Amino acid sequence: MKLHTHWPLLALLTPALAQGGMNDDPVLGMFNVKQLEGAYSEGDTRLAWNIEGWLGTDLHKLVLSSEGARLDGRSEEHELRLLYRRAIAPYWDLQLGWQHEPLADKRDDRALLGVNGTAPWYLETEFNLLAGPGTDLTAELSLEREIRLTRQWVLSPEVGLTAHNFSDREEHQGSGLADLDLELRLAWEVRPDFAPYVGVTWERKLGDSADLARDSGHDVDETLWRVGVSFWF
Amino acid sequence: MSKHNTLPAPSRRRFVQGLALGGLATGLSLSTRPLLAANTAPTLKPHPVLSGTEFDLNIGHQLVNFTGKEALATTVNGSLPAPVLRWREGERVTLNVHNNLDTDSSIHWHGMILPTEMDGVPGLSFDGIAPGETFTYAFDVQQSGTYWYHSHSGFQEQTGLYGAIIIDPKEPEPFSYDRDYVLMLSDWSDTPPERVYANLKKMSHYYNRRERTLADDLIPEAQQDGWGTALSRRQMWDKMRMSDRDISDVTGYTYTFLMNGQTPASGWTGLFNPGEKVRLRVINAAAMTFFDLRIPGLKMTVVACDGQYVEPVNVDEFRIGAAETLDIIVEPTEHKAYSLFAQAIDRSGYAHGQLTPDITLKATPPALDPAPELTHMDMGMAMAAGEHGGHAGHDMPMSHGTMSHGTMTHDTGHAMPTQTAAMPMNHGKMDHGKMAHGNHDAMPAGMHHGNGPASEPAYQGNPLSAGMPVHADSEYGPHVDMRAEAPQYRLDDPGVGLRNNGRKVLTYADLRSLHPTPDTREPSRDIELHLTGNMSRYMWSLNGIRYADADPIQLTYGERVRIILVNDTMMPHPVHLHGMWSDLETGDTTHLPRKHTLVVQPGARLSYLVTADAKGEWAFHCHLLYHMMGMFRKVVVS
Repeated sequence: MKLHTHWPLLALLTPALAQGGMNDDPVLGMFNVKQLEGAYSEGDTRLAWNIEGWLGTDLHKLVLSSEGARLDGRSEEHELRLLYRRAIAPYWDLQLGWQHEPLADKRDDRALLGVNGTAPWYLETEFNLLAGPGTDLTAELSLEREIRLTRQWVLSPEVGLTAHNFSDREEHQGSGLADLDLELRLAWEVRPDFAPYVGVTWERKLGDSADLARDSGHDVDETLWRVGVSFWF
Repeated sequence: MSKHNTLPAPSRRRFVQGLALGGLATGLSLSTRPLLAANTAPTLKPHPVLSGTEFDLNIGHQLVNFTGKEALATTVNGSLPAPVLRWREGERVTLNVHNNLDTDSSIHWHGMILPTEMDGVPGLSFDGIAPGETFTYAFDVQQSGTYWYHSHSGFQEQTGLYGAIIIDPKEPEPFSYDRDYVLMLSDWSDTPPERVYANLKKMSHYYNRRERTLADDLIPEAQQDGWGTALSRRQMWDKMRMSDRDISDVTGYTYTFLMNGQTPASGWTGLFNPGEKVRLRVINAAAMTFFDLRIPGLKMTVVACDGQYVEPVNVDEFRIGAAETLDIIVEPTEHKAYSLFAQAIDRSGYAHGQLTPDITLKATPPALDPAPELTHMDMGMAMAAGEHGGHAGHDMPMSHGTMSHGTMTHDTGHAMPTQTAAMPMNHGKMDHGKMAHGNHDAMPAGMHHGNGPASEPAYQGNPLSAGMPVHADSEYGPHVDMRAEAPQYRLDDPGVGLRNNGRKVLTYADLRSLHPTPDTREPSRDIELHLTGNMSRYMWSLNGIRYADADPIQLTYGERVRIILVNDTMMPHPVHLHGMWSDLETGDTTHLPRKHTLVVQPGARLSYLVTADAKGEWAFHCHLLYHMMGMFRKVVVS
């Protein structure tokens, strides 16, 4: 075993440890626009995105992701994550890093620890714990399964769940299970790396979060219609 | 046909006339004009053939057009494939190889027995050929038959740097023929190979456009057999996060398959007169593709394999792995064009050409066979219910993924040293008989999947009586997604997609050397190597250790060793040892076929004997180009 097997960061910094000019594990970069879409709901059309870029090797990656939405030229929500993602099993990665919300009024950075991978039956799974500020904890889980209808038409149901150990009245976040998202996307895979899609998402606030939303006169559920494109290179 | 020679070999003049490779030739000078190959009419322009003892080979770039789009190829003397090199056994050849590229290059003479410094592997044999430099190879030709040469640098082999070697024997050949053609099969992509490799790392199924779908097979199957049955058939694969349609990593989705550098549309053409015997020297120069070749309407007689004579075998079809060569003789009698049909193993496309008595006749390729599907056996699992006598309904467990391997270490009592990360695994002199199948009942009963197709055939061809494999600790981790739990010797298995197809398909069990095994010593030791990988991360290794992290395999000069290969993946790998012959153990010890490249079927094992009669540093690797960098070892003979 060579040094970089034990010192993963070395592998990122010194790509060419190959012998005879061969390198089975080059440092690669991927720019993955998972979703770039117009999301229509109750008369408003937002521009929404979920983009992930990584730089790394087979087992070690540095990941920067951005997820957010803009309405009328103004960003409404935006989460930035910087993660170190490390393979821990054939189908599973551990991820460790930081979440920053540029739009939050107060400084709202959180540490993130999670796993990301493929569960049996090809369930794409991501589970993250976000910590901060103080003892605040948020857990998020998402499960997605691609169902290939034909060679090019792919249906993707997705379930997302969020829970908190704290309450935040302004943000309508209550302790316990807080949000449920059910999403269905139908993609036309023109190429493996380019697929326009249409989708629908039903978002529902749960438990205390729903109560907080109701108390301030807000809806507890929302249906969004999406038209967008995903691509990577 | 007669096994022994009755006619003198055709004269050299006749060879050169007959050896028309067709279409792409641009002469021997370094040409900058594009090689146009797409959609041109069949031509009989001779492919360059260089013969003699002194050769000048210029490696350079060349524009080609196989798809309607221009792309840059890597060529020798402006030709794709590179010129045919014609040598004579017993002569000394000198080859001045000049590198006109702006990166390092090299040429490896595949299957040649030669001094280590002439083998052409950068980092092992020499430093490679720097841009603008010339390297002079010089060695004695000690063998005869059909071989080939290719770059051993970067991905240059994918972009066209490959050519045939024909060595005329000193002694008359044990068969006769009237015409002699090279059929060099290859795979071309307009996408630069670095990009192909990166695509595979980012999305391993990028090129697999034959995944199961709801509309194309689940619904029709459910209507026929009921939803329960149809779903349960998918259950095992889905549960394992694997696909039974995962046959090839890189497919016809990006590849155009070539025969002698010609697309199926342009169609390489060889002439014959009805009643003539035609020798075809089939060489698989593809980077990633296994081909299944047949000539509808003709029996083929296999007379040599990897350049070495075998007892003639009549077949309808054969599978040829990357880097293997097969010499066949056919006798077309009718006045019609015969289709030379070489379909890719995953049926995503084919290379095609024709043998015709008349240039105006055109052969139509047959329909592609259905896309193959992997079985339990191809996963290295024991066969499904009913196939294994007393073990009906009791499937073997298979460890993979996140299953705890604590329960999967097979401490079933057989005395076998468990190896740790120290490589190579050396089991010393083992009594294979002790590790026979008797352990099945003692295995932990793991996954049950009684719904597997009941018709998976069982294959014998078990010269050494296979035991349960022991997987090294280094085979466990994120870099390895499966380990075969019951890999069988399956030399008589034609392989996935060719089983029970109604045609006589060549298998390794059919190969018997024409000459007696030269070294009849018992091997002094066994070296067991497992072909390992993680398909979804696109990582490849031997014993779970990639080349960059591996210690060399040490052989003692003069020793006879047995190399046992266990395929812990779900795809076949052609494994090539440089510098020394590999005598495939078929059970018939007196006439072991000598090969330079051996295909290990998915979930199977095979073994071969090697006499370490060549000092130096040699390469040992999987010949699939995008697997090679990880599935590679240095072999040191000292």
